[in-house]
Amino acid sequence: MSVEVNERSEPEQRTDQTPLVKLVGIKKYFPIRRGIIFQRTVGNVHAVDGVDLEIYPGETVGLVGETGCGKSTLARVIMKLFEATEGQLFYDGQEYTRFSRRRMRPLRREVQMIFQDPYASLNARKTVGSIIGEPFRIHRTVSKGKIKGEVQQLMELVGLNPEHYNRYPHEFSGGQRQRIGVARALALKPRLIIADEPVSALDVSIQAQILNLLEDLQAEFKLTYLFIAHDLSVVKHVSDRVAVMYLGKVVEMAPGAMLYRNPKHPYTGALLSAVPIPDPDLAAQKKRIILEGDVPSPIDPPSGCRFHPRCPRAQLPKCSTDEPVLEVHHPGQLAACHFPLEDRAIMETAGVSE
Amino acid sequence: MATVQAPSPSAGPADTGVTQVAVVGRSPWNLFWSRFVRDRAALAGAVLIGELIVLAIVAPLVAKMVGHGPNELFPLSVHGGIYLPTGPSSHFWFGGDQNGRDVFVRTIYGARTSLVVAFVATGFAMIIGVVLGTIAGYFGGWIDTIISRVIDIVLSLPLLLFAIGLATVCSTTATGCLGGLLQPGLSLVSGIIALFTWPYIGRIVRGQVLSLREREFIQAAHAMGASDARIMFGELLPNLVAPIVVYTTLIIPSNIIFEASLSFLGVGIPQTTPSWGRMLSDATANNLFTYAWWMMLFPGVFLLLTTLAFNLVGDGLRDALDPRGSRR
Repeated sequence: MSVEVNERSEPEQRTDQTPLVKLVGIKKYFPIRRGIIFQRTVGNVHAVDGVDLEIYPGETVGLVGETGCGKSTLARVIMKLFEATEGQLFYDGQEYTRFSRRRMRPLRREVQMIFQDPYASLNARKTVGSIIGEPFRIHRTVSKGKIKGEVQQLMELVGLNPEHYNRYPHEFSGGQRQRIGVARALALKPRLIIADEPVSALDVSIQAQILNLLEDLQAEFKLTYLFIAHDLSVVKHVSDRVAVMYLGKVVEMAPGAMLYRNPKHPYTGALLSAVPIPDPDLAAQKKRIILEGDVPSPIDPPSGCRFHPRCPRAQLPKCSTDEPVLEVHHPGQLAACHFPLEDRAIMETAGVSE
Repeated sequence: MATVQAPSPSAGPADTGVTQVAVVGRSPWNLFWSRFVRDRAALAGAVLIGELIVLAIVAPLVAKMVGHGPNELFPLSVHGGIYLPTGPSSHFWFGGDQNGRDVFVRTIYGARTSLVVAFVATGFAMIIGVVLGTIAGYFGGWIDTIISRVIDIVLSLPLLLFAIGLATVCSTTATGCLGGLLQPGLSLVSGIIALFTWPYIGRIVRGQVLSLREREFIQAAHAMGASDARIMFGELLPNLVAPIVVYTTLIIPSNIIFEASLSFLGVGIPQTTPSWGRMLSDATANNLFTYAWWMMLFPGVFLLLTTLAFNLVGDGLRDALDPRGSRR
């Protein structure tokens, strides 16, 4: 994909800093209930099943994985739109896992979210001005008389015409609507923005515009992003570090360039081999790693390594009994695999150009 | 009925003067209006309702003009101790009833009763229904269970029997019932009707809220830290306007009928208050209508036209507010 975004420089090690957000063993199960009057729980959807993640100030963490692997659920758990079943959430060193709504309020100013669907995430019955101004009215950070001016400044900042203050969302294109969503997220001057597939509903040409906007805003306001996507090429361009999720777990975590150059987990390898290459000659040489079967049901995930039923490198019985943990393979690169890919294996087989 | 000039299909009255060449964004209100105006039946209904409302407002003026009050007796011919109703004439346009009262004036005053009861009762029903329905749908859980069961119970009550019982009980004492909340008279009837019609609106609103609350813009509001009240009335309510308006308009005619039924059965409205239902009941006393057809025809026709007009407007609103409707 020809996205005109500057390639990111290799990030320095940040272990000395306090992470802005830290997740420890986060699990989110959705109970499956049967019965009309006397409901009993017959099972759980293991949407997120033990995720540890640290996001440091100023960086962009990419979160990739197939549809249904729990990326969006994880984002909503961090936002406390869903209550975590297990685990701990920290913001700036302070645990907020069980905060009440009232105690969450100051935190809500600092963490904002951009949603995937720019059509569903804006209230169709409200004008753009009132949508973007809503955060001001909720948190009363700006006096009533000044809201309009602030909103128009925000609109200008994200590349919208401030004169369109009184228009309704349906009068805008998808890309413009996503800009409205970005403006709303920026209103309270947050430190962290969780972007849940912010460009996947947009045209490719519009995607680049929004990605560039997000990058510019990051530089201007020193924002930290958790960037969720299922498109690896998008994540590659924006992320400092990338976490790969499979069935509710993080299976690999590495600085972006390192992950693309030298994946360790076979699932990452398969994902990377599926990235289309615009050059037909190179594409013909590429060997794709085709995964067999479907993603197993998160209601009853496979034993041991969750990837073993589909993994080309799985060795039974170890992979079906022992659950691999995230281990450091290179400085900064963690993967949860008993039989990781050899260094640079993907480079040759998949022909990922770098 | 006034002939209605069909407007050009694209331009509503709100954007006259705007040339078609320029692409002008149209607000939801604009779109709604241009669709509604195209529906001639609904427009005719709206005009009729407007005329009726004006008539009800100026009823005292009409009475003064005709020279007959709604309860003045004009014993024109007495036969065997009872008044015989007089037929329509230049003095009594719609004739007189067995007590010698002017049917024309009483019919117009009856419009007052019907409209006041219908609007007040429907207004209360709408407020209760919207608030409880929104709360039930938004919070879910045990709150939803309680409100939904109450709705089920109210809807399963034998409506007319219960209403008659309630009206009778509350009318016997001068202070009314529910600690003086329901006073005998129009407010009692309105209250009873509201009590039995809010569940219809409540159910519809609850269903809408159930689907709306899962939408991303509600999650966005949560993510911003909005309070429950703000989400319910700032975010959800604007999206509920269409169904609320439509179902409220459709409930009004059934409430008019409800009031007429209660009056017909002689409960609720005091004897002296003219009401279409009571006029119809007067006409059936001693099979008078077989002779004095005017006593039944005029209030009956007004009742019919009023309910028809509200139904037409309600249907038109539904079509105009829901673009997915298959009418056109």
